[in-house]
Amino acid sequence: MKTEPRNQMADILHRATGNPATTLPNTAISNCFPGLEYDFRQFWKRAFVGLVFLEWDNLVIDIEDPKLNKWKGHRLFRIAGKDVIVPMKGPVIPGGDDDSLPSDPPIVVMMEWSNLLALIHHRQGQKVKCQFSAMPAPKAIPIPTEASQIVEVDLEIRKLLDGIVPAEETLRPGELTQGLCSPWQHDYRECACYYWPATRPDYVNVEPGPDGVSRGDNWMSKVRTGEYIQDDRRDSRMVSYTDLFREWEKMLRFQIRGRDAEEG
Amino acid sequence: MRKSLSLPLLSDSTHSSTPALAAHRPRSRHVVWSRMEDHNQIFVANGSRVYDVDDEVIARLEAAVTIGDDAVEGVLDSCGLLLPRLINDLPLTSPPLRAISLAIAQKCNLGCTYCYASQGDFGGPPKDMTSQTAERAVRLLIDAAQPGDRVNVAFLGGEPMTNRTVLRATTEFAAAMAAAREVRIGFSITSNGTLLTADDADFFEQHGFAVTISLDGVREDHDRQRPFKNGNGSFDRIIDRVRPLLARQRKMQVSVRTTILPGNVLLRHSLEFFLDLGFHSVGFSPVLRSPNGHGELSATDLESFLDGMIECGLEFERRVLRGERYAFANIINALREIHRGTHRPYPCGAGAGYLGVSADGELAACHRFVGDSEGRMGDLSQGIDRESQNVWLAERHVHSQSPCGECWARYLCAGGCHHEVIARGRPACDFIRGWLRYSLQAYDRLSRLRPEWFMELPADRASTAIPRQ
Repeated sequence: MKTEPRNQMADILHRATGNPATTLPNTAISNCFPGLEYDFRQFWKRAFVGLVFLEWDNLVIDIEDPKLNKWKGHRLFRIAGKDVIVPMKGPVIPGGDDDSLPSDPPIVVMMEWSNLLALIHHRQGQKVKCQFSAMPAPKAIPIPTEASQIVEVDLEIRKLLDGIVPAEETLRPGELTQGLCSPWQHDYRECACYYWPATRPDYVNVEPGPDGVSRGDNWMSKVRTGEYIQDDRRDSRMVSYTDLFREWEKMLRFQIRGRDAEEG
Repeated sequence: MRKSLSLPLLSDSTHSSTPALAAHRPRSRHVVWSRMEDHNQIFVANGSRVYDVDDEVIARLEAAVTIGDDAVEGVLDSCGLLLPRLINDLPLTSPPLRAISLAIAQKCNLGCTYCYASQGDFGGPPKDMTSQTAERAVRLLIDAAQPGDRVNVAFLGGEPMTNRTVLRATTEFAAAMAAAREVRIGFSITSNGTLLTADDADFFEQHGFAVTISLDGVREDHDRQRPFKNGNGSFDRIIDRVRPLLARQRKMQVSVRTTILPGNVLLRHSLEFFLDLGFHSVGFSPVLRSPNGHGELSATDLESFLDGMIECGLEFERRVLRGERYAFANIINALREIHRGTHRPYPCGAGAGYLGVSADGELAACHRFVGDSEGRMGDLSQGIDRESQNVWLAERHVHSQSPCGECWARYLCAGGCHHEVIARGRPACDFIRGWLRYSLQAYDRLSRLRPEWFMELPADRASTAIPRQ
């Protein structure tokens, strides 16, 4: 039986033959990380004609129009008066007031660019006023308060969508999918109970000590020593993302009542 | 707080229909299909999706529909078109205010017998809105908006031009307040046209008004339906008064809304007469409910009306193919919504992001509910009565409406005008389905032959919308 989508909703919800229902945009995992279907951050990368941004950041990493060479390494602060980055704020203790987190320089959050995608989409093909750091800034910095540290320039917003389809000029072949995470392994390691309800314990083989302090293993420790190791993805004592991608079935153990199950 | 409604909602099956209209009764709640010359089209209710399908799909649907909607679902599933419900049962709650209409003058100099506002005063003493009341309403609207948001202020009545001073002062106040808050504001007015001046044309152009003039056809029809209170015809006067506006329109758009009463069916003649005069667009709206029952269309009238609408639609198709402008608003809006696949749980913003304000500062679900306890939603001194609003939104959700659950058009139509339905039920469902089926076929033709027309279609419905009056 053959069907062919004819209007925009049919197009958006079109399920290619053989694809499961989870490949539709309305089932996407919408996060700051790429979804499981396509990496929407790629639209940000070339949102402005002539510039290439790091896909998750306000940093200009490459130039496609020589006239804009001077902006390489600079950071974009505002688009049409809207901030691209915001200072990170939040309660330091549970239930406390929102405040800037103690850090020097202040921590900034880069996610505002994704909130600005709607504005960028509405102004496709138009010129907008953009404000950059006056100097290159390899590390993230907050928006300066001094006007002399900000430079304004008119940039043209590229056409992002052709109807409901990504515009060819915005994406290079393969970009929309090259940054996708390996779905479950990535989240399985990434999500911890202090951040996101994880489907496994973070702390295993726990033994209460006589001094009231427990001993136990980080679930990712390759060798169980009873000594908790702080997570660091570069620490070879821990299960890495690559380990999980390649041989998760060897790296993971069943947990029964919070303890490693006996082998075999 | 407004009490929960317990209205006897009338099923359309209880209304008389004609054999031609009854052919548009839904065979399935999920889908409707048409065999075209060399292909087949189906429209799937969930998501308002349009597909071409092969003969096998149609044959299976034809067989399934005789068994029931579960079988139809099975066919959709087997060809990959069954999806989880895109609209759930949850009503909207306490939505932000995005548009208001001001009943700036609850009085009128015309005496139209079918008027939902009972000749302009909504059945009460004639009154004007004060500028203080109007400004409070504008504050309620703009205070709720964030920079970059779009809001709209509509002036209605009665005849709003009988209170020109307040109308202009309010427009200027709202424009200045919106500019200071970086809120984008639009203005609209629905007028009978008899009191307009050249100076009004300049004012409306300056503020980019969407102006809708009520003209019920050419002279004879219009004068019969929309006489002055003394019985004299108003047509010549309106055309004379509206010419400066037609000449001035750049940012401003001046459109016609024609109310259809029994016997008034020369649609194409009226449409082309007004487009030739230079109106931006023309739309038709049938009387389904009037306070005294006068002018309500019967099933036979609706059948004639549908014929007239389709005649205009076919001419629209011919003109589009020739690359000519032919601004028949009803078909433009229908094609826009079919092209997008609009699917919504409410037919309009009434009682949600849009509220009507009476001359006394009472808030109502829309301009039609001014002075009516049914749609009351607070007042300017106390603000929006969120409890009443949320009861309304729960009751007006299309999933709470009958017999909408059995109809494939439920997410395009979304149950129809609340004001008409609450008062009279749903006498026009067959007509609506008939019009949508024609529109789906027109979409099939035009999207193949002139796909670029859809690319150029303004994204903003307001630019061709015909407000119901």
